Amino acid sequence: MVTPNTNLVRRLKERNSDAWLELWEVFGPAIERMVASIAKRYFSPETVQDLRQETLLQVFARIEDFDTRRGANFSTWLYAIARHIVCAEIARRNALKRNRGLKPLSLGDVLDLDGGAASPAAEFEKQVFRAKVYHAIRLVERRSDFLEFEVYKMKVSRPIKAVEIAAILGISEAGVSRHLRKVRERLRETLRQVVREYSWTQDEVEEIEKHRLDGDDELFDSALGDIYAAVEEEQKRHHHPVRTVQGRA
Amino acid sequence: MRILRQILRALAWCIILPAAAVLTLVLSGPRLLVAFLHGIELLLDLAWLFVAIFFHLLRSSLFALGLGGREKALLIKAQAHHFAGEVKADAEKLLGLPMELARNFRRALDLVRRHLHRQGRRALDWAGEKASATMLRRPAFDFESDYEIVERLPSGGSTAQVFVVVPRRGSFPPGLPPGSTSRGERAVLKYFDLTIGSHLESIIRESGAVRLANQLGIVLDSKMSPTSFYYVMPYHHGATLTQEILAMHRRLPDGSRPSDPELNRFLGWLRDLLVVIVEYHERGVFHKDIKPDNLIVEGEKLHLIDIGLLTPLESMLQLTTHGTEYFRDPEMVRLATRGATIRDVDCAKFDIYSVGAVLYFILDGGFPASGSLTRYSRPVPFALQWISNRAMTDFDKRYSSAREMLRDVEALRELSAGAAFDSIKVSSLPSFHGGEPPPVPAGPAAPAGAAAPPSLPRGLAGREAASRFLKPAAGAVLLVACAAGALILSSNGEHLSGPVAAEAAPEEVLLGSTASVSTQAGSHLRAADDGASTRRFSSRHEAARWVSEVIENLRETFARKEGRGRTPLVLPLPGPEEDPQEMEFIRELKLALAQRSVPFETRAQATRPNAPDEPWVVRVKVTRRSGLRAVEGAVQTPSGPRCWSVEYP
Repeated sequence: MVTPNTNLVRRLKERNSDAWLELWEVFGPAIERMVASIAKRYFSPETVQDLRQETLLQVFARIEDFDTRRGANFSTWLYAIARHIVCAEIARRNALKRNRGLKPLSLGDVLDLDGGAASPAAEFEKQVFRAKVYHAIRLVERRSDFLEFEVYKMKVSRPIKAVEIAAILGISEAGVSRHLRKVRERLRETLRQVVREYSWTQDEVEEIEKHRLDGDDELFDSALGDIYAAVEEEQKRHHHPVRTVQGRA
Repeated sequence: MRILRQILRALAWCIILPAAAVLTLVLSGPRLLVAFLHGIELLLDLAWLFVAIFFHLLRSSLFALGLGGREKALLIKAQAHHFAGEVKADAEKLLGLPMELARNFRRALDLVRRHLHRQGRRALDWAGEKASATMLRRPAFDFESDYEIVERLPSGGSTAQVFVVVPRRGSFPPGLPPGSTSRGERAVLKYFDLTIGSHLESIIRESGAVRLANQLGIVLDSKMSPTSFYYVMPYHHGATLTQEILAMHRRLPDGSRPSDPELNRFLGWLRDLLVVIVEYHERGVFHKDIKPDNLIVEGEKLHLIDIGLLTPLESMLQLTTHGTEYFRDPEMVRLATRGATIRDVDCAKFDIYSVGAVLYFILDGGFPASGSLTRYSRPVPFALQWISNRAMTDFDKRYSSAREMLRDVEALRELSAGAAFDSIKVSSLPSFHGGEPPPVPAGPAAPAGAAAPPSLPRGLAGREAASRFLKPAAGAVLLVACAAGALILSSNGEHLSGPVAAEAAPEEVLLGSTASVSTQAGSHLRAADDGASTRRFSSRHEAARWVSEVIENLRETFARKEGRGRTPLVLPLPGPEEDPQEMEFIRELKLALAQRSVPFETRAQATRPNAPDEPWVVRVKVTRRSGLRAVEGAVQTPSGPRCWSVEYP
């Protein structure tokens, strides 16, 4: 049994602004995607963003109630809040429709629970893990030299050999291998740290193995590349039209 | 009785239908002729029915009158029976008639509704045009005495109204930058009016931006009144970069990339943009809202518009999150939420991020949602990916200046002239080797070859080895230089070794190395300008800014050491006999000192060679050296004169 890591929750409870920014950065996109996947047919992207913000506001208001000793995943707790907010919004809209004599939506329709597809909860858990991996990639990008990281990004973005990378960049193959090794080691270490930091149960910690992120270099690069591609694909699918922000945060 | 009722009903319809048909015909014209004809047809049907019933009754009665006795009775019965059958059929027909009438009437009404809807829409359009024309003719705009409105433009997200105008008197008011616009040329006027919905906050912000833009010479005219504010800028006619790029990507098949000539065209645009950004930054402002919607493509040229968020780099105000998502640096949002002030952060890098995001948009057609981590959905050449990612990467690893990015773009343009994009090695770009290449005389059109650092041996392993060897060596040299600087400070201004110091008079010391910039605090802050002998700058303005920074630091050092208040600097007073170049430099220096709130006064004798060596007198001598202006100057400190030497084009 893993010792629950209470660091983030403790900082959140202390109203530490950095911790809230961190929460927003790490879990914000996953929550947004989850909200969108639950009711994408009925809500506009703007409403989805509003609901995401509402979810994080509710987290802010209710963080005192989260008890790490109960053994629940933080992500599950986030999911419960987000689902509650989405359902409340649907109920509110249905009430409006009833008053206007329109047929309300059924909750089954809205929650997309048709057979075969992964349930929103399972999909959300996957996205949360991907969010952790993506956060680790981001941290390693910050800690690495620009060239080193670009080399590694080229390697995991598409099936390309070290010798080809060397030819494209105009450096030696040995140099490419060295950069790859350095960034990979840093990523393995950071990934372990990040997953430890944002995990509350043994299952969550073991996700590294489940996703083949503890294998040899080739396996690691391939698994990481898959997750990186999946997150990027999700982000592209959920990006919104550009708009000007004219207010201060 | 029932038949009679049906007949009355039919008669009623006979009145209603023609009335409705005539009414609709009058209201909606020939398009309702069909409905009218339906009505006529029904009337004829009805008339035929009446006639048929009448003759049937008449015939039966006459026939019955001519018979007698039992036959008559039987015949009448048979006739009656036959007649009843016919009447029944007629009645059924009569009953069907109102239904037919109703159907036709509904058709007619539908046609009327459609017609009225169409007419109503036309009327609304007409009213809108009239209203808009009336508004355009409205004499309330206080700029209309000077400018004639040609066209109204969409105002975007601001509370202003934007017009295309021409000056009424044939030219723009006097005092404008020469050559900024020709006679009768169109211009864009942005108008804020508190009485018609503009916000005071917008007026305050934009008027500040206009003050800065005036220094850059991009505002043709501006005027503030108690309730309104407007400014005029050159008009660029063309599509926005967003429109151009989205149209281009729609034409491209999936999985393919723009052709090499197209990529070259994009690089030309990027170069145009960077030239403007370099100019802004060197003049001490940043744009803050670079995005494809604010870029106008005019032939092969790209113009940056919308100066609404121009901000001085040295502003003491708090950083705000204004800007546009995906083209705004997330680091800016992070710093703004932490309450950082603008002058504490190298805000020029936010513009560099935006330019990188614009490049991504050009190449991919999408938005860089994760900055430099965003993947390309098309096979973009790696050299271009390198430039875009380098601009959007983490704050500390990003291009240190827009000029450095411009060097990469220029180098890539040169390389792509002789080779395909895919064959260009990323290591050919100047920024690949990390350190700044040797500074070049300013000017965006500087040849890329001149900007490139001395190239290392072509052998790949050799370059790696050289880099491994050179890095520690450079570190050691830097360490020695720092130690020397510290020694000078501690010895209160003793002599320095170095190329300029050796050429300078024995009592003079090099000032550049003694200056330590105190604004460095954390990784996000601007790096200190320190440690050079003769410094080369891209413009006079930039050189003057550096000198002012150095003097300010020197004064702070002495103020700390001596514990006394600061005495004002003494600068030369412009006179007719002075060299105009010297005066220009001194004027820039005064501006830079004023921006730093360094007190100074001007005196004519300060420039004379035999002036008494009183503290904080500044002397300047401008000469011409191999195509550059060289400024050698000195400031008299309590412990002796300190000199500097700068060059600019």
